[in-house]
Amino acid sequence: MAETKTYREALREAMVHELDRDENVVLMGEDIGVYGGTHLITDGLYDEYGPRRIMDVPISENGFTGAAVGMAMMGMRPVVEMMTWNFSFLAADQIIQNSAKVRYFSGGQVEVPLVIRGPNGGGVQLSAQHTHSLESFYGHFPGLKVVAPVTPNDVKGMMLTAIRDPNPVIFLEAGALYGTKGEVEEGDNAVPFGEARIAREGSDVTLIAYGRQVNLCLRAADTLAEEGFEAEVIDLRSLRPFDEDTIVESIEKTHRAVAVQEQWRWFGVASEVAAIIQERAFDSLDAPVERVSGAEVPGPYARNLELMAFPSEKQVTNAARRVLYEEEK
Amino acid sequence: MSADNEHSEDGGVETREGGGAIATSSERLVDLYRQMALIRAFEEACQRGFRQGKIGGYLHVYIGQEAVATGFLEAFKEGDKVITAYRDHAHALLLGSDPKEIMAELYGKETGLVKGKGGSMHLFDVERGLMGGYGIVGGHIPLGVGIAYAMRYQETDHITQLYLGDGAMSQGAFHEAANLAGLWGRDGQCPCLFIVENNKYGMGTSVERTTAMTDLAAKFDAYGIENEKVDGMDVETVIEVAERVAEQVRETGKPYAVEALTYRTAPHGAADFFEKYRTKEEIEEWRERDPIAMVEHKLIENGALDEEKLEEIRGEAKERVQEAVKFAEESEEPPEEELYTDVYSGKDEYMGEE
Amino acid sequence: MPEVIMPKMGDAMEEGTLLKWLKSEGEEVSEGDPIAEIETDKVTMELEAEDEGTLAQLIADEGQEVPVGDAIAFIQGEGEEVPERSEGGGEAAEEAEEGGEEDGGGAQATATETEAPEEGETEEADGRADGRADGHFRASPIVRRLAEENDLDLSKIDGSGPAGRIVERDVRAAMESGTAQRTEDGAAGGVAAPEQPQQAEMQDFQPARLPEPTEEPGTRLVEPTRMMQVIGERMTEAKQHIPHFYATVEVRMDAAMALRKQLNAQLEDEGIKLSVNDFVMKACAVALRSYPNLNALYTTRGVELHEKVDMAMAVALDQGLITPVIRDIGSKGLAAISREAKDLAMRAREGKLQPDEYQGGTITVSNMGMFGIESFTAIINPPQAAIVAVSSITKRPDYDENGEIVPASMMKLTLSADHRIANGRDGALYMAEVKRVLENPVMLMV
Repeated sequence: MAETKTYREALREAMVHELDRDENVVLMGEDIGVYGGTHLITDGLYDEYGPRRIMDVPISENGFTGAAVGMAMMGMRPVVEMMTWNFSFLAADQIIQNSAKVRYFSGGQVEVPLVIRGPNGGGVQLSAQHTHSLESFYGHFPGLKVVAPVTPNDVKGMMLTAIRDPNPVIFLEAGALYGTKGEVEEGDNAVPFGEARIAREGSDVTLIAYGRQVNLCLRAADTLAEEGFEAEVIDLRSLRPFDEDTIVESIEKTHRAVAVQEQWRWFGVASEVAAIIQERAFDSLDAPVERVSGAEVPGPYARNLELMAFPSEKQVTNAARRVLYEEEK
Repeated sequence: MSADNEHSEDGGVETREGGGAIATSSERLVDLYRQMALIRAFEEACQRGFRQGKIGGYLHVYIGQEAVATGFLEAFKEGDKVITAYRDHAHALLLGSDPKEIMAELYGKETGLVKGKGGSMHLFDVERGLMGGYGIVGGHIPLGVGIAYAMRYQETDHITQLYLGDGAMSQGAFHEAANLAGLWGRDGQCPCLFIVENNKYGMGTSVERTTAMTDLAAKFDAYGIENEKVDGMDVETVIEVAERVAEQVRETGKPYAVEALTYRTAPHGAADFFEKYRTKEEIEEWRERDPIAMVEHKLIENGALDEEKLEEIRGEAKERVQEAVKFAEESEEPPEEELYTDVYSGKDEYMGEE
Repeated sequence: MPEVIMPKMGDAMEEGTLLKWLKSEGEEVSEGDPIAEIETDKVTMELEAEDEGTLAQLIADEGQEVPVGDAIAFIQGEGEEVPERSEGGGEAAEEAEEGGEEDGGGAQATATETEAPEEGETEEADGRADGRADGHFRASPIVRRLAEENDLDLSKIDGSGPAGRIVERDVRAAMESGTAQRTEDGAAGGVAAPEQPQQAEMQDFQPARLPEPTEEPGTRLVEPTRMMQVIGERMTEAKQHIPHFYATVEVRMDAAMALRKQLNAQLEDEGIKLSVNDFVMKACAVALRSYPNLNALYTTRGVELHEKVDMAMAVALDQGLITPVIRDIGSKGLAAISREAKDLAMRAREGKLQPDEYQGGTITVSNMGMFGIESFTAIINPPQAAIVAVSSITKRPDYDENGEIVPASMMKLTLSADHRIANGRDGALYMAEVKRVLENPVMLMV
């Protein structure tokens, strides 16, 4: 059974599912309770579950994230909202130095079943300090898991998995897509980590992305189809763990790849994708792997500049044309 | 100038002072002496091991501060938790961790308390209540507050003893966590006992040089957390305060803070040879109030033990430590496959390439 | 198709001996597999495959001496054919020398890349061309794979990609039209044994006339090993071409021995035991500070003076001699020298030295003290300026400053120096300085 729901509703549904299932689950965050959440993700939950489980916290990311790590070490399962991931730099010490490592440096004596979630990426004119895509930042640290679902069905299924995971999970939501709709499976549709999703099948070129860039790739694929090229679109969904096999299998079929990311080019996920392809599918390649990334600038405010700072459909289609040895347009 | 007076001048508020104010039985005092002598002997062996190159990384010893943890952990009850920073050997010893395993950890051996993965700064013995030593100043404070919250959330009557140094109180993490503790404590949801081990210096910078308001206990006022000071060199006085306030925290679920005035007579770290930040005279003055020497003095004075018996206890401590060193030296290094374990819990334990 | 060549393992190496094949013809090999044992002038080592495929055509026989850079075998990749070799390995050898000095494999790759033409591959099509096609054409990886799988000759395909890169669609088109099938003329043929041009040059170093073996009863003919040959050549050349002169000093070693005893007692825990030779090497280095002109190489364009002392030490092996080098010995203390000397000597005896550990050196020390030798002269290790021969320490009566006879530990050191670089006075002053340092061993500490 499936129903059409928004990304926001699907996300809330997953958290409600787990709040009901496991008494150890609590939600924490700035203005998530009485106010209902800046993005209304948690709207209505305070009334239903009360302040003990839906915890409004002061504006102190380092403090409440650290407290959540402590709670998790005691067997609770806190789900912490970063109002936006941009604020997580204030909590980076707790996320990186404590949540990611304490299991290792305690010799396996503790575990940290913690989810930190919130909107990631830009696109709504929030300018420099509120425009970040932090997947490679957090994906760099062993001990963390990092996921970035883009469909309403995945955001629900992966949130179920995240809350049940005994490790700290960085849950990067497509903030610009909270209102988009899609089919969502009823009940427990837990989506395992480490498995990419083939968003569109194709035979001529593989477009690899995650988060809202997946939608961009799907549009680019439609354009390419009009020119006679069938693009396969892979939605990575899970960045740590990372599904190498799905990419490799696709490249063995298409022989050409374009990796797309909203974040900056240097040290990004797309570089990792390119490296994996050349390591594991070198003999299948017909062209060097192309990367399409955000411009190497802090996020600008003006709409036209902001659009230029993010990957465009044209950049993606042209990159695809280059690996197909076709004329750019 | 006595050290006690100095405290009073510094703090400007009344300090609960020592002098055997409580009626500690001789038998109990002997037991406390035994514990403190073990810590001292252990820390001295660590310094030797470090100089010999057998202990790597950073090494922070507890010499001079023994009365603080010894006293407070007298108020420890099963189910309680302890969390501290990197000067953590004493806490593990006092909670009953095997000195052999602690030393083996420092020696980087597989038999170590955390399998040779953490070293001196990261002792954990979760079963006995030690939720860890942490290496980033102040970084563990929010964890401790969260642990305390969980205790009430899970409807137990346990409390958290959260140790921090004077230096940590300049960290944002402290202020954020103390604010949360005060806030949650209003509803009786944060049984957290803050124990500020004020040893006067954050590494080599004195409290006076790091904060304009040197009354550290009073800083908790800002977060609605009751607080007081105690002479951290006198174990009996520490116990008196510890037992009273621990009970209060347990009953109310509200946090409480005690600033223990103490002094580290050893250098900050084992590699801190040049103590340019303090005078020899100052160290000597504090050595006169050495917490272990004070107990010895009391034991002789009230006729519980003579010098010979004290020597015997010190000898026993040294023997236990020697056994620990021997055990550490003879233990194997961690097997190579341990490199990849404990990164994750659950099925994808390690996600890199081996 | 990749060749396996005799690698150049040192700047003085001209040829190597193929001791033994470790893989046989037709066997599959992977990159890194040892395929043969080769002996150079200094070491015996395993030669590893640098490519994957079938070991085809073992060109060199076991025991054969092969010039550096010459092919000793081919590794046949999937779908490749063994080339016909009309010439010896001279071409490959030249390529290797152009490309790099020490790494035969790297040199080969470099040469291949630099000569890769971007267009006009068809010129190469006859004869050996298709066998080396992969190195010559710009082609995407999938194209190379398709060519192998479908037996295509890439030289017959025009690339439509950037800079003429052959891309997948070009190959697909060629496959459809059938225009790129490989022809059969590249089949394996007989391969001539490679010539060994160096052998002629070697004759220069042989005495003009040698007698035939008598082959009488009670005689046995021993063929010199590769290493013995090289040593023989180098020593002959040195002794014939370098105008040696000699200077001997007698050094009273009591103070040095006392210091050694004292230091060894202290270093015992660290497992270090300083040898007399460590002291001598250090003294020779210290004395060079005052007489640096003996720390020099005789080169084509003059005498090259070196600031740093790289001291070679002669190590006797069962079948010869090798001179591993302690780099910048002047900057090292006795303990470090001792450790390094011991390690080098041990690995030298095990045949485990790397070429860069026994090449170079700016002066040499040769010690026969352990055999009770009273004095000897050594042959200069070219192109160095000097070598110091160290003899044993003997207890002898000596006069003290008051003219009284006292027991003394005496040791002779003999300098052999190149008269083109230094004259007698330089040598004498240098040896006097070595003596002074050793007799005042505290100088070794500064």
